[in-house]
Amino acid sequence: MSVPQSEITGQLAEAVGPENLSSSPVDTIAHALDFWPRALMKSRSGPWPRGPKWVVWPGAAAEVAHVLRIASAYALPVIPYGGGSSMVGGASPRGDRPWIVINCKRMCNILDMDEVSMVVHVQAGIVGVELEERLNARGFSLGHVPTSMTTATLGGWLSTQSAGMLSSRYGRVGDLCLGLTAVLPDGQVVHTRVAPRRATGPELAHLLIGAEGTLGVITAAHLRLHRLPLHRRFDSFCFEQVAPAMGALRQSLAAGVRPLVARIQRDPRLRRSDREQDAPEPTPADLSRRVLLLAYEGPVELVEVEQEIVRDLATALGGEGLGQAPARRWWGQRFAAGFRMTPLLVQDHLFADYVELGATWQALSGLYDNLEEAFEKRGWRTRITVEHARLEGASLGCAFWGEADSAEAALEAYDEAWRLAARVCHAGGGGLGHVYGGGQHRAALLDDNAKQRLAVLTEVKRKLDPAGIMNPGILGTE
Amino acid sequence: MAGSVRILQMTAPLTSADSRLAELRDALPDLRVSNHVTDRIAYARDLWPGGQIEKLAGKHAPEPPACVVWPKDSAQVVELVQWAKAKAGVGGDPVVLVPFGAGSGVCGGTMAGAGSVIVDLKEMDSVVRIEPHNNLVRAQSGIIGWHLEDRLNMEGLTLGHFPSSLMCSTLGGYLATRSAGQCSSLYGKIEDMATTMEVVTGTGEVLETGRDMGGGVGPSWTQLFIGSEGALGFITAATLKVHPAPAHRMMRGYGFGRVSAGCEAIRRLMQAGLRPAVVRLYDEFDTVMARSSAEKGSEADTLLDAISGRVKGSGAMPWLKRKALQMVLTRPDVTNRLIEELAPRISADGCLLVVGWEGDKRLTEVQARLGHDELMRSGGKDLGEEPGWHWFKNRYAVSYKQSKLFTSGAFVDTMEVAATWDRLMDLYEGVRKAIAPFAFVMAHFSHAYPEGCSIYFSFVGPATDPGQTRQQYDRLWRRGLTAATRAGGTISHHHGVGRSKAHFMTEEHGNSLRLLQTLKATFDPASILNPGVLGLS
Repeated sequence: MSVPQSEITGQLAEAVGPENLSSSPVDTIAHALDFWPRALMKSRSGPWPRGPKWVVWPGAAAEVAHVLRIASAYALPVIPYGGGSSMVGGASPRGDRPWIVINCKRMCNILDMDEVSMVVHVQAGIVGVELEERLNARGFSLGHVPTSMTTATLGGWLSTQSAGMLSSRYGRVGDLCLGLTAVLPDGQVVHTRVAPRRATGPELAHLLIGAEGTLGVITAAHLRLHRLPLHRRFDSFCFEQVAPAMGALRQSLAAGVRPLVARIQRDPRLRRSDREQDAPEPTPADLSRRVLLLAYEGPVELVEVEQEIVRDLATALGGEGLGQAPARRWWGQRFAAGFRMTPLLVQDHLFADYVELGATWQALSGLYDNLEEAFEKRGWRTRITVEHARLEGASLGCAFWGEADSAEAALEAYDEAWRLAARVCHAGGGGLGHVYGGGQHRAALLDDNAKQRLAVLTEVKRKLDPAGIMNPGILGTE
Repeated sequence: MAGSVRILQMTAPLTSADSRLAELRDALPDLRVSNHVTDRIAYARDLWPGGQIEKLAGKHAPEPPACVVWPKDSAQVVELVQWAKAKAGVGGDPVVLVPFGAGSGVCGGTMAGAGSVIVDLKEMDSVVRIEPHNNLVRAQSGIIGWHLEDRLNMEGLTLGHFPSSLMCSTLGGYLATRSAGQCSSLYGKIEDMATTMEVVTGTGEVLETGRDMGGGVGPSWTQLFIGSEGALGFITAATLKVHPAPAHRMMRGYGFGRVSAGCEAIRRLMQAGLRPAVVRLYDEFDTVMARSSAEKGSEADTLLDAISGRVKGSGAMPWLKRKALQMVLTRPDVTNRLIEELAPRISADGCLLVVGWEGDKRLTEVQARLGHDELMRSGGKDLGEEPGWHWFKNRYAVSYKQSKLFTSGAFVDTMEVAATWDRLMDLYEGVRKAIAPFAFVMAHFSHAYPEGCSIYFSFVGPATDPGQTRQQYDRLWRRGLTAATRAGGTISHHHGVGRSKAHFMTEEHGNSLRLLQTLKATFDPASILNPGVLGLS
C-alpha cells in the first residue's frame, strides 16, 4: 500500500493538534534509537539509523486512540515511546514502512490520589523520578526504583514488567499495578477495574503488562503505594565466596525477612577509586570475596529484629560484618551505574552490555561461576551482581565489556557474547531476560519454553491487531 | 437413591450418553471412563447453593454429564482435547469438557451440561518434587489441598494456603478460581504462590506458563491462566512457593465498638508494614457466631442458640429452635433490624477482631507486639488470647455443616466481595441493605491488604417452598451483586464467578472483557472448554 504522507500528516495534526506533531529531523533523529547497545554500536560506525516519519505527543487516551485508528487505516507501524531507555531495542526502528512514534510523555499527570487506600491513579507517560518526587511530597513512595529512574516512564516500566532495586520488598512493577487503561490497536480504550484482589477470571491487566506495546498503548494505571519510611537501616557482610553469601540471603528470605535492598557484589573496597595509592594489587582471594549489601525499612523494632536474624544467619555461614558503611555507600551511588556505559559505547572498538537472567537458588551459584568463567576465558571483563532476590531465587546482572580490533569485530564479539551467555544460562537452568524485557534483541536468544510463550503472544496479537501495527518485531511478533 | 435414578432417567435419556461413551472408548482406549448412573449424578454439579435448593425440590441432576473420565496424565488430557476438538469440527452434538477437582466450588463453576464430559483430575495427584532449597514445590493439579500440605509438613514446609475447603478441594481448583486461604495476609492468595503452571489449552497444546522462578519476558501467562475456571485450558500441574513451617504462632482477640472502627484499625495495621497471618473482623452478629462453641453442635444450632437463646435470654429445646428458625427466617428484614437493635447486648465486647501471627519466633513476637500497640491505639479492647485460639481450633468447622441448615428448612450461601479501603464501608452497607430483605445476613472482614479488604457475607434465608425459594435466592444475588458493583467493589474475592455470577462480568470488567474474549478465542477456538463460566460461551 502506498503511503499518502501529507494526507496522514494532516490527519495526525487533527488527532493531537499540530503543535504536538513533528516530522522535523530534530525529533525524528532523537526518536530513531533507544538505549540498546547493539543499535548504538552500529550507529557509531555506520549511518545514524532512519527515524520515524512522524512523532506525535498525544495528551490523553482518546488522542492515542485517534492516532491508532489513523495508523490502522494506512497500515503504519506504531512504536510507543517513553523515556527511550530500553536496553533491548524496544523502541528501536525496524522494517521499511514509514512509522509513527507515539511519545507518551505529555501524559504525565497524577489523576487521583487516594490517601486512605494508598492508591494513586496516574498517567503512564510520567517519568519515574517525577512520579516518585510528587508522591514523596505527600508522604508516599511507589517503591519502584530501577536505575532508569530518571529516564524511563511508568508506561515503559509496565510494558516491560520492570524490576527495581527494591524488588525484594516491593516486587516488580506489575505487582504494584491494581488496574490500567490501555488503547487497543483498533482505538478502543479499555480500563481494567481496580480491586485489592479479585477472583473474577484471569487478571486482565497482565495481558498488557510485559507485552512491550505489541498489544496496545498503556495510558494510565492505578498503583499501590507505601508510606515513606520513618526509619531505614543498612548492613553489610563479607564472604570468602559467593555461595555462602547466597545461602545467607536465601535463608533470610525464607525466614520471612523482607529487606529493602539485598544484593551480592564484589568487594567494593577493591574498587580502584577507593584504594590507597600504594595499596597492593588484589590477590585471587580478594577477587573471589563477595559482599552482601542490605537495607531495611519499616518500624524500628521490626527492622532491628530483621537485622538480627540476617546477622545470625550470615555469621553462621562465615560472613564477616562490615557494618553500615559499604551498603550506605552503595545506596548513595545507586543511580550512578546506569549511564556509565555510554562512554564505552562511543569508542569504536569497545563493546558492552548487561546480561540479566533469573534462576532458582539451587541453580544460581553454578550459573554465577560458569558465566564468569566463560566470559573471562574469552578475555572479556565481567561484573556480576546478585539482585532482585526473592524466596525462590534471584537474578544475576552481568555487566560485560571488551575490546576488539575493529567496529565490525566489536559487533561480532558482542553477538558472540550474547550467544555464549544464552548457552550458559540455558545449560545451567536459568531464564534469560528478567528485568529489561525482550524487545527485538532477546526473543531469538530465549529457551524453547520461553519461545513458545512468545508464540502464544503472537497468536493473541493476530486477534487484537490483525493489521500488525503495534510495535511489530518486538518479542518475536511479526 | 432410587428416587434420584428415576428423576435422572426422566430428564436425560441414557441413549445419547451411551453413544458418546462408545465413541470415547473407541478413540481413547486407555482412558478410564464411566457412564454409571451413580457417577453421572455425583458429578452433575458442584456445591453451588442454588443447586442445593434445586436438590431440595427433588431435581438432583437435571442435566447429567454423558460420562465421567479420569485422565492419569497430561498426555491423556491432550488426547481428550484433541478428540473433543475433532468432534467439534464435524458437527452433530458438540462435545464439551468440564474440569472437575473435588466439586466443592460454590459458584456453579463445574456444572455438567447435557452431553458434556466431566474430566475428573484427581488421579493426577502426585507431588512431582519438593525443592526445599528453592522453597518450591511442583505438584499435579488433582492433589487435595490437605494432602499437599501434609506432604510439605513432613519436610518442615508449608504452602500457607488454608481455605476452609482444604479437605475437599484440589490444587487445580484453587488455581482455576483464584482461591484464598485463611492466612492470605501473610502468604498471599494462590495467584501469589504459583510461579508457573503446566496447562493443556483448548487447542491441545501443552504450555508451561512461566519459569520456576517466575518472571521472564512477555506477558505473564501464569496470571492469565490463574482464574480461568477451565475456560481456556486444563491446569495439569503447578510450581508453588513454599515456606518453612512456622516455628511460632500467636493468636489474640480484640473488641471494637463498631464494625467501622474495627475496619479502620485493620487498615492502619496493614499499612504500618506489618504482616499478620490472620485478620478477621466479625460484624455484630457474626461475632456471636464466632464466639459460640462450634464444637458442641452444628452451625444451625449455633445460629439458633444465638437467635432463640441469647436474644430471648433463655435456652431452648431443639423443636423450639427449629420453630424459631423458621419464624425468624420468614421475616428476614425484621430479624436483621432486630439484630441491629440488639447488637450491643448480644456482644458486650462489640465486634470481634481475631489477629494471628506466625513464622520465625523473633519476627512473630515483635510483629505481634507492634500490632498490639497499633490496635490499642486504634481504640481496640484487648480480649486476650482465648478468642484467637478459639477461632483457630474451629477454623475448618464451618464449611461442612452447611447442609444441616438446608435440612432445617433454610438456604445458606456466602458472598465474598472486596474493595479498596475508601469504598469498603459503602460496600458493606450497600450489599447488606440489598440482601437484608431476603435473608438473615452477617459478615466478617478477612483477607486484608494495605490497599483494601474483602468482606465475607453469610446469609440464611427461608426455604420452605422450593419453587419460590429459588426465585428469592436469585433475586437476592442479583440485588447483592448490583449493590457491590455500584459501590465500586468486585463481585468476587476468592470463590470465582462460575455460572452463578457470569451475567455480572460486564459490570465487573467493563469493556476490558474484550481481553478475556480474545484469550478465549485464542486458547479455545472450538469452544469445547467449560462453556458458560465467566460469561464465556
